[in-house]
This record gives sequence, C-alpha cells and structure tokens, in this order.
Amino acid sequence: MLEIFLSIENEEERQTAEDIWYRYEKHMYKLAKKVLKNDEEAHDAVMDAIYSMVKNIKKFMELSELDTVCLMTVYVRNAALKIYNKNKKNIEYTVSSENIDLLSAESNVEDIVVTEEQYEYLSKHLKNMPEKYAYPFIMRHCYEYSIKQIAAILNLNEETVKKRLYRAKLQLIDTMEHDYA
Amino acid sequence: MRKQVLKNWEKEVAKLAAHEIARDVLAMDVSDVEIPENLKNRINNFFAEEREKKSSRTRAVRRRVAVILIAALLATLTACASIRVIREKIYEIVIEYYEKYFSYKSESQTSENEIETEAEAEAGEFNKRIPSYLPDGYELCMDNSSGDMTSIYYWNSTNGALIAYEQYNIGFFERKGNIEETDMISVKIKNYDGIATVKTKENGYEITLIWNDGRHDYSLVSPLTLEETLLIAESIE
Repeated sequence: MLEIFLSIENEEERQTAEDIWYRYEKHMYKLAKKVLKNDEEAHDAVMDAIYSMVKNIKKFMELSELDTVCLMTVYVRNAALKIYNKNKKNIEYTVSSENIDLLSAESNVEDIVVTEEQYEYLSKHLKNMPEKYAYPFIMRHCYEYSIKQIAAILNLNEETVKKRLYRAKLQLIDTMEHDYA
Repeated sequence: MRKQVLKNWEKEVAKLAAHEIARDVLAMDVSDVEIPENLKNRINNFFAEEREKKSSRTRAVRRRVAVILIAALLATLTACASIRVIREKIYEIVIEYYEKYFSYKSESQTSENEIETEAEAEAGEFNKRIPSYLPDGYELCMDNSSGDMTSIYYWNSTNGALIAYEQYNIGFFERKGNIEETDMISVKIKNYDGIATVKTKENGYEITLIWNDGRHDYSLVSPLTLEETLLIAESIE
C-alpha cells in the first residue's frame, strides 16, 4: 500500500522535472554546447544532467525560479565538464588549482568577520571562481546538499568535496583580507 | 562602520552568487538555439519511460494486493465450506452484529419435574399435538407428520390462504431468518416464552410463532393477525 502513495507523490515530482526541463531546455543546451562545442557530446551532457535532476528532484520541488536555474546550470555544466575532462586534458584547471593552493594556509576560517556590505562583493568573487570550487560551495550553502550528495552529483569522493569547500572558503576569506584590509 | 559577526555569511554569499549565475544564464540569447530532433526524442522518450516505470510499479503493487486479497478470500471460503465450526462461528457473528437476521435455537424452558407425564418421560415418545381451534374457513389440507415430527397445512378454500404448523422434539429445531421489514416480538404461549415475527404484506400479514414447552419445539406460520395466530397456538394439545 505504501508504494502506491509513493508513486502518487512521484507523479508530482516527475511532472516538476518535465516542467523544469521544457522551460529552460534552450538555455541548458546552449550551456552544454559552450563547454563541449560538439553536438553529440552536448546531447550526452544534457541527458546526464536530466538523469541527475530526476534523481535529485526533491531538491527542486520548492525552489524559486533563480534557484532552479542556478541548480540546473550546476548540473548541466558539471555534466559537460565531466565529458570535457574525460576527452581532453584541461590545463586551465590545473593552473587554477595551483593558484588556490598557494593561498595562505594560515587563515583561520572560523574567526572571520563578514559584514552585509561585503556579501555582494564576495558573491561576485564566488561566481567568478573556478567551478570546481564554486559549485560545491553553492550546493552546500545555498541548496543545503550534504557532502555525500554533492560527492554523488559531482562524481567526486567525499574527501575531495570537503577539500574544495574549504579551499573555496579560504579563497573568499583571502579576498576579503586583501581587498578590505 | 560597526562590524557584525554573522553566522551564516556563507549561505548569504552562496545565495547571491547562485542568483547572479542564474541571471546570467537567463540573460543569454537563446533565440537562435534549436534543440536537435534526436535530442528532443531522447528526452521525450526518457520522460515517457519514467511515466511508464511509475505506473507499471503502481500496477505491480495493485496486482500483488489483489492476489493477496483473492487468496485470503478463497482461503476463508474454503474454510467455511469444509469446516462446520468456522461456518457456524461466522454465522453467529453475522447474527450477533447484523441485526437484520435472527436465530432461534431451542433450549428447554422446563425442568424435568414439569414434564407432562412420567410415562412420556420414561418412554421418550413423540407426543403429536395439533391445534384444536382454527378460524372459520380453514380445514386440514396436508399432513406430512412422521414418528418424530408433525407437519400439517391448513387451507382456506375461500381465499387460498395457508396455515403451516410444525412440531419437533426439542433440540432438533433451529430457525434462522431475515427480519428486514419485519417486527420481532417476544410472546408467551401457555406461559412459555416464544418469538413472533410480524411481516406486513400487501394483502395482510405473515406471522411466524416459534416456542417450546420443554419437550417439543413448535412453529406456526399464518396469514392472520398476531392475536388470531396466538389463539391457534394456545389451542394446541
């Protein structure tokens, strides 16, 4: 009897997934093509993003439009980058990660004071951060995904997710300390 | 400016960044974007499969539930058909809780001292008794009596009405009936407790009297009024 009720709830979720896709399909397809430049690979990236979205549809159920678009963007870009990284060496990312590693390791992430005035500045910086750091940070703090969920969606292990979250936060703090010193 | 320590700065920053990303995406010019047909078909098929998966899961569950219910019903019916105790128990429950039906099983209302004659008690004979009073127009029509039961029909040739009278040794009589649209009344016949069911029909009544005197069970069915039927019952000797 329980499965009957679950499937009734899932009907609403399935409908939500379809609505989201059909509303933003052109944007998502363009995003995928921007990364991959190849139709076939863009198709695969889009399908992977839809699979991920359907599997995690509960997160989408009560999001605002902007939150939905951002989360879909994360899924599509992540799927596209996975295919891109599988096919080619991504030298740019190697350079970016080195930059992050050079940041001050002595900053104490817990004792940081951030004012509301600094939010917008930091958010722009986060937006321009490499996606491998920005996306886990956004998924963790904006969408409240667990480390485990982020690892599953981004196809990383949990330790890697924790490190990237930490490094994203370090970079933001470093920005603040340098720019607001 | 006073600086405040805010606990959820990461959440605020992440939310703002998420909205900026979303705005950039929504601001993209997609007027020249055409989703290729094969991709459209892939996506449509995917959602159609999802729909089918969910409904087939629901169908599978419903099928399982239906099979379990049918199996339980068959088991109950088999048990009822083959095991008398279960059948009677279920019937008792129906009778007890469902007031449309009544059940009468004779229990002796007398002690051994009240048995009519000692000879009858010792011999255990079936003493046939018949009504000595009948309303005008009724006469004996059929007598199906045997050594241990009386079954007589009295017929009114004017209106074709029948009175049916039965007598059994006590304990052999069990009556179950539908009392929908029927009144059930407790009565006394020669100081013995009995039950009368009164069913109103288009052309009169159908009265059924059931009682016992400690040795025999009696049943009297007539189309007359309750009072007239009781007179017939009182005259049985």
